[in-house]
Amino acid sequence: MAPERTESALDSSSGAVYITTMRTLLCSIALAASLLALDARAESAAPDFTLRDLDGGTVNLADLRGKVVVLEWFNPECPFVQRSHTEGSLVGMAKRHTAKGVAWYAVNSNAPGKQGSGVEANRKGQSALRVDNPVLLDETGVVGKAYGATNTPHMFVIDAAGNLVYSGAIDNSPDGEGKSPEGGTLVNYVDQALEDVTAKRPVRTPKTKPYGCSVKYGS
Amino acid sequence: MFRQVRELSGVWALVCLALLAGAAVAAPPPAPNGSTRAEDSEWVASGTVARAVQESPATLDVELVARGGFHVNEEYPLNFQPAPSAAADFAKPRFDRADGLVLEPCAAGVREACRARLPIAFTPRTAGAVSVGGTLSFSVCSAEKCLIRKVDLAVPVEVSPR
Repeated sequence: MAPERTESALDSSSGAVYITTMRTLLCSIALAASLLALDARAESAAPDFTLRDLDGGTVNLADLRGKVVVLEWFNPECPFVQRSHTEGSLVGMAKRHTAKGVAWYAVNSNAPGKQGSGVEANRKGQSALRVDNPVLLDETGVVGKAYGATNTPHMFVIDAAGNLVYSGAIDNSPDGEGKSPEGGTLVNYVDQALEDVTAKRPVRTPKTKPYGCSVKYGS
Repeated sequence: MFRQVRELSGVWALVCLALLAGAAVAAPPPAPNGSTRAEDSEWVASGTVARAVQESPATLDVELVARGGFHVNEEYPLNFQPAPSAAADFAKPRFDRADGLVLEPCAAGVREACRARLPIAFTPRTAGAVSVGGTLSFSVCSAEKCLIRKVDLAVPVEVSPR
């Protein structure tokens, strides 16, 4: 009898352990899946900021609520930025979208003294690359880090409600020229995101891996 | 007498074997048929053809070496686009990572690569002195900056008749 009781006690105890383990496992899977889904959607409130443009004026993201906003991490001396603006997907792109009411800002988070930093270098770059939209300076890097900007160009699309709906590369051609698209067909992810936001549907590719130069943060 | 001859031939056979083995170890690599080199302070790009026989498959070995604190930007789609030539047919109009790109780290335990090699397959169509080449597109980066370069390489090659 004793062995039977022990066996049944063991059965019931291991059953409870099994249920607890399974419950923990399923909860972990569900939590991980929801976190992954959240990350893949890249949809979260865009970090607010106030930055100065090259003329000393200030731009506050909160003031742009109601508009679709594109933030393009910028370094006028980065060859990927240069090629994107002279040969690749960024040629005329900001102009095309600002004409439709999109607010487009270049943001430079390079620290003072680093490549492409400072008012003069950015003015020069703006003119050479025919960038008509404002360039905002984020020399402390606080805004760049809040967005997780790692590269130039690194693109972010914010919908009219202030949600970050796209972050990543401008396109799938990491040469910056649009001549080496992965899979053979050039895909402009920002064009796609703006199309989806305008059509009020979920962005089809909410997150991609950015390419280009690294952002030259101060620390 | 017969035993002496046999012993002697055995010794000579051993000597010959040793000499052959030594020659095999010490044999220098075949001299390149033709090579070319372009460089700047941050990189060296070169192209070498070891052997070329008319109407036989040959290889143009393209190599990029990053230097001066720069490394090969692995995210950039390094590629080689052969220059059209009546003297040679290339297997493809563009060679890239999928065509056997080999990257070598800058040093043991370092993630970044300082050397990239890409074999370019071609078939010489005419015998004699020809030029084989194309454009190598690549990017090298340091902590401070990245460079993108498109370098023309033209290798003078002596193609043997078949």
